[in-house]
Amino acid sequence: MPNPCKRFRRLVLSDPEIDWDPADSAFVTGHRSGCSKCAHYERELNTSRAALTPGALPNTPEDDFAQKVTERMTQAQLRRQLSVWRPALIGGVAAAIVVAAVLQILTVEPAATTPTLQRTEATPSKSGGNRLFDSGSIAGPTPGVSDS
Amino acid sequence: MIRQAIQTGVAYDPKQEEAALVYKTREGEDAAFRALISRHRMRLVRTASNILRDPVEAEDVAQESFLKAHRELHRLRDDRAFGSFIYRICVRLCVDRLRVKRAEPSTLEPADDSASGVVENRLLVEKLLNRLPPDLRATLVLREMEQLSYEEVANIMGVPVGTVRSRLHTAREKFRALWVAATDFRM
Repeated sequence: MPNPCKRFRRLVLSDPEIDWDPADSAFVTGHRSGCSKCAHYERELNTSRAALTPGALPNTPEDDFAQKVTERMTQAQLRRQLSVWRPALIGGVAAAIVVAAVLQILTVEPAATTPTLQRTEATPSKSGGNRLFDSGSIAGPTPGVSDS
Repeated sequence: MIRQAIQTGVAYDPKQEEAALVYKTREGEDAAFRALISRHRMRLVRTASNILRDPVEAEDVAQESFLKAHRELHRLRDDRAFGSFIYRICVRLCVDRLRVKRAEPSTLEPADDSASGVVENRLLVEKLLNRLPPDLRATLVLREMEQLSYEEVANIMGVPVGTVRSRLHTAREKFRALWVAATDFRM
C-alpha cells in the first residue's frame, strides 16, 4: 500500500476532532477525491462505526438492585467470617477427634490385653453357674464346677 | 439537598455530597451506601451491558462492583472520586469476565431476517464485539458507546492515553473488517 494511503487510513481510524490538525484535514479531503479504494475504505469504516452507537443497549437495573447488593454483602461478610474462623473450627474438630480416639484406646486397652479364657474371669451365668460363654457357646460346662 | 443548599445560600456541590455519603458509608451507615448505589447503578448496568452484551450478567457485574467498592473503600483517597472509582472497578470486572468467556468459541451466523432493524443491528454488533479481544472491546465500547474522552478511558482502563489511542485504532479496524465480512455474508 502506498504511503499516502497508509496515512489516510491511519487518520480516518482516529478521531478528527482530537487527532487531526488543519494539514491532516486538507490531506484527507484531497486523498479521498483521488483514491477510490481509500474512499471506499472510509465508507466501510464510517458505516461500521455508525452501527456501534445505536447498538448500545438501553438496559436499566432491576427494581430490587439495592436489596440484592445488600443481601450479597451480608452473604460475603458471613463467608469472610467463616473463612477467618474455619482454621480454628477445623483444628477444634480435629482435636476433639484425637481426644475421643485417645479416650477410646484408654478405655478399651485393659480389656483387650487381659486373657479371656481364664477361669478367674468367668462370669456367673443366668442360672447361677460360672461360664466363660453364655448358652450356646462352644465351651460347654466348665469341668469340676457344678451348676447347682 | 439542593433545596437545603438554596435555603442556606451554599452552592450545591454533588461531588461534595458524594464525599459525605462515602464518609458515612465508611462509618457503617447503610442508608448512605444505598444512596451511592442509587446514584451510580444506572450507569454501571448500562456500561456493563454494552461491554458484556448480556443484561443478566451486566446486572450481576454491577452488583459485584458495589460489593468490591464497599470492601475496598479504604483504598479510595479522594472521596469525591467515588464515581470514577466504582466505574473503573466495573469495567475491569467486565474485562475479566470477557477473558474467561473468550475460551468459549463463537460462530458468526447471519442475523435473523425476521428481527426488526434495530434489534438486528444490536445482535450483529453483539456478535462482532464478541470477536474482539477483551481490552479492545472495552476500549471501543467506552469510547464509541459511552462517549468517554481518551483521558477518561485511560484512567478507567489503567493505561496511558497513547495505549488507548492505539487500541482504538486497532479495534476500529478489526470491527470494520468484521462488519464488512458479516454484511457481505448476509447478502
